[in-house]
Amino acid sequence: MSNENVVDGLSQVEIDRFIYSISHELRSPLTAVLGMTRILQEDYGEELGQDGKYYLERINVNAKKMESFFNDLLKFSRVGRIYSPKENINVYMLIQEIVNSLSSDKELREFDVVFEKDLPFVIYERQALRDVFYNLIENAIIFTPRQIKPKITISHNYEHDEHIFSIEDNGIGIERGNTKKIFKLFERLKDIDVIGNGIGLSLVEKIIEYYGGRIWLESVRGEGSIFYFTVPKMEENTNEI
Amino acid sequence: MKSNSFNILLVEDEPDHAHLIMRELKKSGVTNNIDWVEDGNLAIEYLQGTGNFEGSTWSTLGLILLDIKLPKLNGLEVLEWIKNNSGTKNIPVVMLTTSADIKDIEKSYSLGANLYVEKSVENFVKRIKNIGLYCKYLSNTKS
Repeated sequence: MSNENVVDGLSQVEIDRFIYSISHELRSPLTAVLGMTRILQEDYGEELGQDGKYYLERINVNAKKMESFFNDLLKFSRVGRIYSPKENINVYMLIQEIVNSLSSDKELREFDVVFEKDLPFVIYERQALRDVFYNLIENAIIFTPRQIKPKITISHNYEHDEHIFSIEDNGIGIERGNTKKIFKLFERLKDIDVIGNGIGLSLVEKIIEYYGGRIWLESVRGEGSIFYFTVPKMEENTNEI
Repeated sequence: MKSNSFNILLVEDEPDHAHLIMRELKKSGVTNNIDWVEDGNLAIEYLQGTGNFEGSTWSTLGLILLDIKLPKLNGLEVLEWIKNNSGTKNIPVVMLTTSADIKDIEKSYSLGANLYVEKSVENFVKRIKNIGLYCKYLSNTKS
């Protein structure tokens, strides 16, 4: 059954409420599964033997994947509902925090981030803007071929009363016909051998549009992508770094 | 009150979560007696000494661990009752929940909760251990 059929006839608010409830309800038993797994590891680990330890570890890894999936779904359903008030954010500092966080993620490879221009302060909800940059940078790392070190170039322009940010990568790129498709919830391109949960870019698009911006990309298959997004300028956005 | 002599009331409808919480508290060195009830109505009965808990008293309670999402009467309603009752309003209450909803957090603190602990999958055990430290701190300050 396609996603469109599942949600046919429901409003976005109803869909968000449904997603929120499901994600929230499923986190509770998952918490118990991981808690019990930890008890098994701590108290009975030695008795399990090599195979037993392996299977327990696989339960753990997969349960954590589920947690990540539910957390992303919860974020998606919460856009515009329970974020905090907007504040004046130093974008450069925010990205540095994200880079530090991604650098300590053992699942990810080493990567370089280059700032092509000074970045501004913007009025935005902090966690929302963090989710936008985090997902775009993480995607750039994940979708770069193994033999190449990911290089992410972040730039900024200001045109027609809006900030335009760009995040350029040297990754695998996207076929022209798929540049809109990748923003659909749960959409994963069939010809790309990377496992994702299909939520990240949908979340990014939903946040940006909720706050009055736009997102689009330019991409050449095999050469990389440039994601652009806009943030409407507010009066207070005057502090450049 | 002697050190470690107070009881802890755990209000939690998920038996597996209750098991994990009690186990981790014991492992953290909390030796206090822990009474467990599974819904909001039973928590009120326990605190009033009525129904299934005829004769029980809140006077030996030193801490309440209260899940937010409960059947019958939810955790926020129970919290409101606790903080509006002269006998129970000074008992520290730790809210436990799988929700990181800012509205739940704000509501809990505005009603008088002492601590809000998210039962996140990754850090559940670690957070329960922190409650254990809090219990031991309370035990020492009440001794």
